[in-house]
Amino acid sequence: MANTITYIKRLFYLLSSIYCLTSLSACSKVIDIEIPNEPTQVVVEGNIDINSPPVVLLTKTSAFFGNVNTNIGAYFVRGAQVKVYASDGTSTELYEYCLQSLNLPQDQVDVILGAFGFSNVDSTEIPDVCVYTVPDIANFFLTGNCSFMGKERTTYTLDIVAPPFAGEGNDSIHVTSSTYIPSVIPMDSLVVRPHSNPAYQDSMAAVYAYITVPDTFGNFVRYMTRRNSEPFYKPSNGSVWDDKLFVGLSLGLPIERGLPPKEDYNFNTAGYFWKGDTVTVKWSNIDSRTFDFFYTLENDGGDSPFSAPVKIKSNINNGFGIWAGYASRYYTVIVPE
Amino acid sequence: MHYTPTSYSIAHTLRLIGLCLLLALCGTASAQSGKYTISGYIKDASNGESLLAASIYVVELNKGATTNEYGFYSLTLPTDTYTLKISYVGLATVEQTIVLDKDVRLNLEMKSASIETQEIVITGEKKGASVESTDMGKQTLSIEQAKAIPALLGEIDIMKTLQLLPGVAGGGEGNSGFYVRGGGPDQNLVLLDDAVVYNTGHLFGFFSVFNSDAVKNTTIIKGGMPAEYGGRISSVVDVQMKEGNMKKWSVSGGLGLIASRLTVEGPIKKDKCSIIISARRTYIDLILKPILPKIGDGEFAGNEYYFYDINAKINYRVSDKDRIYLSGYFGRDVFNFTEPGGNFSFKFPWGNTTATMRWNHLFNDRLFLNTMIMYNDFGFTADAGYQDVNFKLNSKVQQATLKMDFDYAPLLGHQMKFGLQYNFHRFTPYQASGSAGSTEFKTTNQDPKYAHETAIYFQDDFEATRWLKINIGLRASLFNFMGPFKKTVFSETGVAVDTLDYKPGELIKTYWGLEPRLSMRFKVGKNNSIKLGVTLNNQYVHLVSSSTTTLPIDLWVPSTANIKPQKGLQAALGYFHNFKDDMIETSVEVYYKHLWNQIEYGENAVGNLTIDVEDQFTYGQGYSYGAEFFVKKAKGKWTGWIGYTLAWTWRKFPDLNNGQAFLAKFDRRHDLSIANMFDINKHWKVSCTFVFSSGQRTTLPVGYFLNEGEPHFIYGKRNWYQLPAYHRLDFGVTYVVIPKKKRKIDFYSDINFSVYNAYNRMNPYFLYIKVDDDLGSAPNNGNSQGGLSFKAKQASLFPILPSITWNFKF
Repeated sequence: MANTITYIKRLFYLLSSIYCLTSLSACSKVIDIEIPNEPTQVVVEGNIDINSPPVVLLTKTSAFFGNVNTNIGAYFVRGAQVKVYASDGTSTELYEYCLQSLNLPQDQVDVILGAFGFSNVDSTEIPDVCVYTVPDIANFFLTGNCSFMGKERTTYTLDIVAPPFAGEGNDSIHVTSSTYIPSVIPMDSLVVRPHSNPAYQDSMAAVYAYITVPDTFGNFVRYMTRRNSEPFYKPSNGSVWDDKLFVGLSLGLPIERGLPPKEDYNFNTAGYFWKGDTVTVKWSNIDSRTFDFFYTLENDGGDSPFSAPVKIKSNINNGFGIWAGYASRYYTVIVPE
Repeated sequence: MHYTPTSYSIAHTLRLIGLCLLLALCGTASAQSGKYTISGYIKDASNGESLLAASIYVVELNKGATTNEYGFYSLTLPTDTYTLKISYVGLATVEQTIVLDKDVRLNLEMKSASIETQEIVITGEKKGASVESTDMGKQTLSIEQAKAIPALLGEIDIMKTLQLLPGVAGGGEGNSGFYVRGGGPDQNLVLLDDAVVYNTGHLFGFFSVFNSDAVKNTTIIKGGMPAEYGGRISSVVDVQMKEGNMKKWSVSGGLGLIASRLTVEGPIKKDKCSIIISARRTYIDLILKPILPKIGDGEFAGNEYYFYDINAKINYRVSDKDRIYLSGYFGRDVFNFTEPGGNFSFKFPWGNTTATMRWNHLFNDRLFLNTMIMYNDFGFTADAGYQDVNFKLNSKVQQATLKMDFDYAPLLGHQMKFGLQYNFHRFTPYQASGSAGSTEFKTTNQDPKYAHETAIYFQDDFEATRWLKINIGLRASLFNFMGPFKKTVFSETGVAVDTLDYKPGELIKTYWGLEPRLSMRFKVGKNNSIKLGVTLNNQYVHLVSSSTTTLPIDLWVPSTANIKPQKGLQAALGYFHNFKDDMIETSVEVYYKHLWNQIEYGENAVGNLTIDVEDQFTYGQGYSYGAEFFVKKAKGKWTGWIGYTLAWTWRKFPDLNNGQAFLAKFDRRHDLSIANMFDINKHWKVSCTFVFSSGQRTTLPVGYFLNEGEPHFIYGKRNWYQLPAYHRLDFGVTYVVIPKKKRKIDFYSDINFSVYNAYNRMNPYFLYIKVDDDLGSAPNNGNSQGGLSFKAKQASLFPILPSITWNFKF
């Protein structure tokens, strides 16, 4: 609901395109533009969840119309020194692991790739994805425990020293950030309800989260959903909520099904789950800076008559991206046949 | 000390009224003995409409005066015998000899010039006005002129016609906002019968809210704004509604491709009281209803859009000294969207309402008072529902105004104006409420904001010498942001850290300012003059938009403790030269404008409803400079003009673009407009317009980064890219059917055929980056896991669009 203005603008855009007697897409043409050169920057995609180790993906910004990257490996920043410091005095150095050289079980590979937008990757075609995480990550996969894991009400500082980019100087790049893992505020329940369109009630259903929002401001939530054994996907109409509309209330809000990258948006199916689905909702309390990042990221409509470009609010110093602390709980419900 | 809004406003208003009356009486008392006054009203004999800017010229003194917008004039002269020439272009000049040994009331009704001598004219200005007057950057357009210009889908649009003048840049197709000499769209004071119109567009600006059948004149003042106008810092657009035919009943209207109009006007009591009612409605909803379900997968089937508006005016001549006008406007755009499956529905009505009551009173032959009480509002309501969550959003700006304008002519050559204005403002920001099941919720920090705005002014337009004419004025304005007002203050981490709570009538913040205005005309020959104008204006209300077009969800906000009033300083210098007995008017004007306390949304703002909107603003300055060239052929069978502007428009905000100055989105380096109208004979008229302007500025991304497998844009410097140039040719042909025989009821009609964008130029509407995202879906041995490719694409709106309109009158 918080991004209603953005949504209204999208509808206005739709309206204008209908009433301009022609669809905008039909009246568009490719043009050549010359993009000024911008220095390359480090992009952080890192998170630390409660009872989980920190995971950091380091990539770099790319120009539009230069050499198109067809190799995913070309995006990654390799050979960086990455450290995480907790406000309780503990710390760890993260090691670089590249999937192609790890020989991890397929389910673990799927989990890691799913987090970065890859799905249904064949074991013989693992992309050249590299992540930085704790040295004993294997223990975590085996036992659920490792040397450094996120805790509630703790601040985590990220410190990265990355090698310089080719052709852009000789100095290494120092990137820092910090995030806070708030307390878990659990969901009251996850409930299946009928689809609002009777024509779809035989095949699909809605899922609602019943929540009690604390009566003090400053609570933020991000959620993602998973059907059966699919990866978690984020909902297309915004994955983050703040509490300013709902402070002190108990209410049920529709959980929108996370949309796989290649699925087209359709009003009748996008928000709903299929009968028989095992639905898992990853419900994460986050801090305000993590909320700001995803809120600006998900509401950037570009510079058009109906929107203004949004500079994404990053918590990364000397780089882009997000270092996010999550206090996650997982809730599961089966949609009855 | 606490004030209540009522006691506060009444006390201030009474004080100001007292001051004005005192000034009036002092002025009257100072009139010199041995002089008498000729005064009266000038009207059009055919319909009784008042004539604005008719010339009353005293032959013996080589001086004169002009009528005000109510057709009133006043001349105070020594005792003698005078020959008066009363002229109004297009009407027969009246010559009258007056023996002035007492005050004389001379009301005149001017008739059309004979067929033989009738000239086609494009404005109702008096002879030589552009050279003689102190006006700078001022143009008056008659509605006939606007009607002669080809229009998009045949819908006459006075706002688009104004954009054909130099110094007035349009926002492009689909945008009713306009930008005068580098000022923003909120800096134009748009008045309909003196009531402020906050949003001038239907369908997000594709069409103007002004129904051409109800409009008499439109005047734009781009620079040298007289002191009688205030509250905006760039320009004035004064739209006057017709008064209604005092002589006979008539019906007029038109059938167009997308809308129809109908106007009824006539005397309730002949020469005493008249009424005009004009209505317009689109029927695009009806036309598209059978088509929409067939587009795509039928997802547009539940879509409905239309707009309508109604203008009405009553004008009652109570006595020779008193006249009352009641006028109003009500317009709505209605957009309903229902997803065919019923999952999502959306209702969105929006529009303007204005109401004006005016009382003209003549205290004596030299002192004319126009008292106005006005109300206007603009707002929208959005009702949306998704599953069992319902959501309501509304926003409104409301203004109630009391305005008293005195016209005082103590001496020949002096035309003084003074008066006061009081506005009560109520701004409702995005107010959201809703329900999820049985639980209701609403936004915090979105309570209405209240403000009082008061101003007094004085101005005199006088001839200091034969070659020097001066218009000097001073406006003093005061703005009070008042309670009730409540706000929860949040820290950066979203925690509530404070609550502000002001009681009703409690003063929160006061601003005031003096606004000097000066225009000088130096006559350097019979047909040439040099003019100089300097104005300083304050503006206490602001429009903030996160879009480049003017949308109904754009937000008007008052000056508050955080938001300072906008200030604008403009200096202009011009050379004016008329040729061939004023048949050809030319001018060159250069200007510099500086704007303080400009508002933009911050670079991270996304229109979050749950935050006080002013917490998302950032503040800075603007400046613009340029030169305007104008050649107009005002008379003859062929009329028209060429306007060219060379301009630069800059903005500088500490928190935008790393603090560096940047070109504004509507910066237009070159802007050329050519308008031609040719009357072949009494049946056939042709017209064409050509416009060319440098492309507008836009902020394109310069790169991207990946997050969760998706590319996201990194934007370059603000407005760093210039779109391709905009140019377009339109033409129109009108055939006028004239009744062959005089009948009891004469039926006139014409058929207009227009072609918009005749050579089918695909003008840029905006650019966007199309992403072909194969990342993560086409792995290939770890070396070619698919990839991302990007294309810059230009979207265009209107191809060549022919239209046909039938207009009638009987």
